[in-house]
Amino acid sequence: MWHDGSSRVRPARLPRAQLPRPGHPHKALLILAGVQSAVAVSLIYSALALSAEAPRAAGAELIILSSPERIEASSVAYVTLRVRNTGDRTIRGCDRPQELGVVSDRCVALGWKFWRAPSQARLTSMDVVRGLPPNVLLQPGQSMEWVLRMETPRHRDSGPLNIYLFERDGADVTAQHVVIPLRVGSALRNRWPTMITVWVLCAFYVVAIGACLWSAVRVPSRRNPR
Amino acid sequence: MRVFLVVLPFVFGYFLTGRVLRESRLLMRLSMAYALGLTFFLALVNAAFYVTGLRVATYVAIGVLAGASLSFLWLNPVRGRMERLTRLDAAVLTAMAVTVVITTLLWQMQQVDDDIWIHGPLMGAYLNNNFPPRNPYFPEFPYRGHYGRDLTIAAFSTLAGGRFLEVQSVLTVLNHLVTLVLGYLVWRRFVRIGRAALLATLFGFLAVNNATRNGLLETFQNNNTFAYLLLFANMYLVLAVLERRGVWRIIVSAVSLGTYALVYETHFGALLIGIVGMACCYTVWQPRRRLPSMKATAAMLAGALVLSAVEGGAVTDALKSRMLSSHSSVATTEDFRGVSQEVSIRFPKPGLRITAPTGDEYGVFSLRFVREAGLFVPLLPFTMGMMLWRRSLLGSMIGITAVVSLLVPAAVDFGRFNPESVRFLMLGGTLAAMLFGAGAAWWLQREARLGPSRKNIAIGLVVVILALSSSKSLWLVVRQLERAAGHPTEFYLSGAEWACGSRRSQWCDRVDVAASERLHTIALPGETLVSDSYLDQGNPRFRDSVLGMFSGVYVVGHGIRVYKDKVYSWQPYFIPAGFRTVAFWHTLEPRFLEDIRPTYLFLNPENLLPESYARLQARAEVVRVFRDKDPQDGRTREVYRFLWRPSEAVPSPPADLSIRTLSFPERIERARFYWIRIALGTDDSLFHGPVRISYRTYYRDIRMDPGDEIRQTINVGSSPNSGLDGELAFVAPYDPGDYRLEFLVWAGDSPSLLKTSRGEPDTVRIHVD
Repeated sequence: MWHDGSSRVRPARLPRAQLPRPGHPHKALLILAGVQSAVAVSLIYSALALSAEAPRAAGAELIILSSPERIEASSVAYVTLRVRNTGDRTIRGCDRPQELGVVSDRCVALGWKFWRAPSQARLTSMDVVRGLPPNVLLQPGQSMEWVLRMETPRHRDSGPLNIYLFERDGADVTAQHVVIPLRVGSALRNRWPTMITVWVLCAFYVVAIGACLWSAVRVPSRRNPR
Repeated sequence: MRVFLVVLPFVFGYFLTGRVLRESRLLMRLSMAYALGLTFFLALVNAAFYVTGLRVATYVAIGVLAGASLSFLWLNPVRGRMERLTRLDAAVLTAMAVTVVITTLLWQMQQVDDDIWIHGPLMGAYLNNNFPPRNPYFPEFPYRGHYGRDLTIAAFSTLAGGRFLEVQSVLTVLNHLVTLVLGYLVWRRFVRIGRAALLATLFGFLAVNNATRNGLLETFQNNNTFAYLLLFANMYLVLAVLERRGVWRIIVSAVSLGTYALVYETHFGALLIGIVGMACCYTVWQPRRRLPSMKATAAMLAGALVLSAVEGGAVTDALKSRMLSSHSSVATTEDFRGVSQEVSIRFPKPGLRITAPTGDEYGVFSLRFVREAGLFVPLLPFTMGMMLWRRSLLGSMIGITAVVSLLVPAAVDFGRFNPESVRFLMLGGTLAAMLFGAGAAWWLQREARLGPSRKNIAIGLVVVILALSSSKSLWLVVRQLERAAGHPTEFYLSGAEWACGSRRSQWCDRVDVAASERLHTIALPGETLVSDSYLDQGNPRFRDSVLGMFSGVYVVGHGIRVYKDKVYSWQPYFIPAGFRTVAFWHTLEPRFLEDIRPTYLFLNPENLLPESYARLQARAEVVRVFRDKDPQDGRTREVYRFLWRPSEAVPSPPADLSIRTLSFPERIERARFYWIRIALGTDDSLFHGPVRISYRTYYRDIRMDPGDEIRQTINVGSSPNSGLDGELAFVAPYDPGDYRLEFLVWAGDSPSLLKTSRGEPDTVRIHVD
């Protein structure tokens, strides 16, 4: 259930990242990257579209098919995405996506981080890393739609949700970065009975302890009036 | 309306305490009524559940208790009088009670329980009439050991629409509250030192400070509230028998103590020794009343032991396995003992050292021991000596129980369960802290006689010690309140809402709970399911436990974790997806699950590629039972039923069948699935398969895939160069290392080792990264 009380996820076809690959530094491209990053930030806050900051993986492509614009704090959000094998070899879901290390073939995993994108896209700098199902084998040109399930932040906020597609090929790890503008709203509207109950319990506790303390310290004054 | 029936056991307890035990003090009567209501309800449900379903067993228990309550009306009542507590005692006890209730409730609204992964599916299984207990993840194994708490909650929840997580929450709060009150009242009744009850309770609840808990205040998870509540209740009953005797007191005490074995056998064992020790002290201190009191105590202990020997649980299992060949051990290795919870016992333990939860060992005379057991354990000889000197029966029983609890982990070798030493140390540490509190009260009393200044200094010192040693517990209370006030959205009012909410929402969807609840309505006892949690890599263990607890169906298809070094610590004994399950999900061929023969398949269709999903739909071995869709988020789950037929006969393989080549990849990654080309050879030119083959994995001489061997029927085709060619499904071991593989060929149900053309057993050595 989203903040506005509806259950609908607003679908949005989002453009994929198109920035140069790492390892090919070029001044013009760096300037371009900087400009594009600045443009991206403005785009995020105007909630018009998403942008990309890092180069996409060489042999896999990440496309966001639908994502919510507003979500509830301490809840769950679903992002529907498509992973496409654009390389010339089979690609699979990583068995242990969180672990670093050498794989004998190509596999992909997804990671995400709310609000601040890390300066370098690393598996260790993600909030959560999740693999595609390990039985998935994508042949060249084949794609898979998948729904990413993510726990939402505790606090109300708005900003970018950074989703990364990590591709591991032997010892190499490359990443594709997609940004989704997101607004995390209060959970009060839908969860107020629970919240009120919890707060009432807390208030009752404070009052009860206060009453006990008062009762305890009242003793001397009764025993020794004046 | 049915929910009001839950009151009846406590009404029975009230009549029992008031009219049979003749307890006159109202608060004590109410506390004991609650404890005895629980105990007798459990004893009756347990007995009836062996012959009927849980719902009927619950009604039988309620009916018997209601009938007994009516019969008690013929007995003369004792007028109840409220205890007269001092204002300080009343204020502190009320403050503690409010703290206990609020913190226990808030914690459970957020976390539900510590070891919900096992207790949840066990309670779900009971609600599905699966009894006696079996391991909910490996139902081929009995689950030995205590189960009283889970059964009580499950039985009460049959009167509350099966909502056992909510019932658990309410019972835990009540248990914890009554533990506090009863602990205080027992000290107050049997140790007549001013403030001894208050200080013993405060130190026990706030100031234990051992490695796992800071005090009883935060020890309410899992079985703990039942264990400590019934500990104090049984202490009360034992002392009542010793002092006032009477046949009914003896019977009630025997039933209560015997049922305690079903709740927590470690505490039951320690308490038994404590009772015997205390009775010995009594004979020395009261020589005139020695004979009748000893007879009463002996009768009570004998009754309790007889009950514990037949009712089920750890004591019954231990006795049966020694006396009945039909009940012998099902655990062939220490790794299997984790699955069946079969405890091996050896005395004395070599080295007389305690095994920590981390698996390493330490001596009794070490700082580590103090850290693990609690702050007041080193003072136990003094505080216990003080109680013996004062000829306190309760003090001596608590002291002896504490000493036994602290020494047992060093003296008795429990095999792979040695890291569970903290159960004993928590009991010993708590009782030691209580004794310190009582000792401090005695010292205060003596100092008070020496003048007001001495008294004030002594009070100041005790308050400082209490404040310092309670700081961690109190800080936890503050943190709990802070969390509640700051993040109330992380708290839940219902178990179903909690299960896949907030932090857990990354591991499962609400529809997982809804589909499991729907499955519960059609599932029969003994049915099993294989889930697709392997494909959903968030936290497969937790998701499977959610499916098990809400469906009541055993969730199977896991692998047994084999520890190469045989050093055991607090680590899981199973792997979420076993070798056969991994092979199934990579191939979608039910033949890999043929040895498990699960009843259902639980699937999130999004976890399969469309073509794989279509392939599964087309299989004749599975038929969809239902499909559940969450109307809010659109997530879907499907439950299929496997249609198992008798295994197809495979022609007997020729005697000279051998492996010619096996094509493993250059690099094998752990726990990964591979198709391996295999070429077989035989001189029998008429043989064209199929061949039933399996393989076993060894690390040195340790079998690494016990109970999870992948047997498969391979269709082999002839090739001119290499003989009979086929593909073998192979799942690499879970851990890196060098392994040896043995291949077996099956003729019917009998395997034989595949041999090389030279007649030697064919083994393959692989390295796993």
